[in-house]
Amino acid sequence: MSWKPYVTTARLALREAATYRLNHFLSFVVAAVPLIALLLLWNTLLGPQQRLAGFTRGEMLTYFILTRWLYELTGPVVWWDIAYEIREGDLIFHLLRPEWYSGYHFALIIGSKLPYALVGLAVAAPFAVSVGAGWVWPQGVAAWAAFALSVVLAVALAYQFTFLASLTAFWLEDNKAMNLLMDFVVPLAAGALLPLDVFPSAVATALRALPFAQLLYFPALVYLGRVDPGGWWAGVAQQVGWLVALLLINGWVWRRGLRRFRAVGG
Amino acid sequence: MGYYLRLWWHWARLSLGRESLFRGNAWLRLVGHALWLGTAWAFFAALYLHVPAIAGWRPAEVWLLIAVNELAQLLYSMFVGQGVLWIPDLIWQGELDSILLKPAAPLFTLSVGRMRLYNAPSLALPMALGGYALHTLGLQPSWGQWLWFGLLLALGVAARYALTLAVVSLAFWVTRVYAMPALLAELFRLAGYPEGIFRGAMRALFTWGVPVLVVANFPTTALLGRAGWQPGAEAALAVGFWCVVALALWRAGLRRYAAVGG
Repeated sequence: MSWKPYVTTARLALREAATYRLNHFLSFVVAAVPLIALLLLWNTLLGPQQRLAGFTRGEMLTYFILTRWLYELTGPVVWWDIAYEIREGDLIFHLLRPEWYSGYHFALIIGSKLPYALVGLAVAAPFAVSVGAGWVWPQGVAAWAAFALSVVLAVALAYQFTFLASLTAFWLEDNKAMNLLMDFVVPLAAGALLPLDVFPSAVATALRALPFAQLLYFPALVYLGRVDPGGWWAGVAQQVGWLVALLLINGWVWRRGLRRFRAVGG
Repeated sequence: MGYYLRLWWHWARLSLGRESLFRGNAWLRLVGHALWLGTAWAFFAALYLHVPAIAGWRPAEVWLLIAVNELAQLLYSMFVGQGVLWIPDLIWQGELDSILLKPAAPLFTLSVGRMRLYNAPSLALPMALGGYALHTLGLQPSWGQWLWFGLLLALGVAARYALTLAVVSLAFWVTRVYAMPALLAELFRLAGYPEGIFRGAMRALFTWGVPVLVVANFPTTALLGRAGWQPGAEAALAVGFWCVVALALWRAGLRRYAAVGG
């Protein structure tokens, strides 16, 4: 299989997305607004020396700013294009081409999210500066590499959730129920709302066992240096395990969905 | 006045009639609002496992704040929120003249012509949470407090409406303002945080610049018996200011509006 068409797709999506830089900037400003309240809240809750659920003030603020930025990359959604193509029958045009449908949309998503992530860094930077000396940086190249790999795997895992949620369009008339899941349940379980350690221990243990924790909570802990080497290997193994499981599930759902698919066009 | 009441009643019936065709949606919305309320509750409940109070607010006081905030958001979205967001599309597509030609004040038609009364069942959720919070706190607000609460809640909804109208009126000059209403929506989500975390310049900003505190915190303090005349005066001034700005922008925009239709 040649990767060239997918690299080209990603490059074209990136070029298109990069054309609307102001739009990305404003969109990320929108996404960053809750940070204002969160930073004010945590500054109220935590003095410079205090800890909450084992997190110092600096770690907690770093966690929130980092995850707010990261979740735009690793947060699963119902991808409108896939759902639309299935419902409207446009999927047939893709089926007629020698392409891997899932790979095509993965390339599109990566291409469109990269400029967004870069602009997002510019929006998040002032918040990071406001944390001052308490801001946490990974210690050394190995820590950066460990974080980067956990993010790459989280992005791949998030896409598999995105693809699975979007494939429900084969059976569902609209995305409302899936959107509810993606908007409320997944962020909570991924640690976007709060670090999982803040929840009661039984709830936190249950949430850590779900694959959603590998999307955000795990990479954020790796960044903060709160995961030892053994924990990192275990976390990465979990990410890979869920990734393989979802690839298999998605393949099965895709084949079942195609059996239901009827394109009637003119 | 009777004419406008009849119009309002007509649109209200239309809104309910349209939605009664899609009852499944109503249930899904109820679930959505329950999840939203549940998420806000879970967030603060988890924090209260570690601290006894947040900026002086005890748990049940925050449950009341969450409930009042949800009530304000629902009332806004039910009566005026959808209509006012419709304005930019009409301007860009040159279809505003179809509203201007109707025998009613355009702003009235635009604001209440797209009510979402189907959200009404969801009102039960914040009312139940608010009732539970008041019971836990052992509070039985007097009629005067309820009246003061109602007035402050109405001012909160009006504040959001006025600010949104001011922003969408920019569509007369700017080709795309999609991100701005989204930005406002995110800002107004901050209304569910206790006012004690907003101090100094931040408190001034979120009372006057973006009147977020007016929406839920001020009415909640009325029920808690903490609101004197000051929140009412601040809310009235903030709403008055934003109404003047919004109407000035709206009228100036209308003067330069030129529909090119076919």
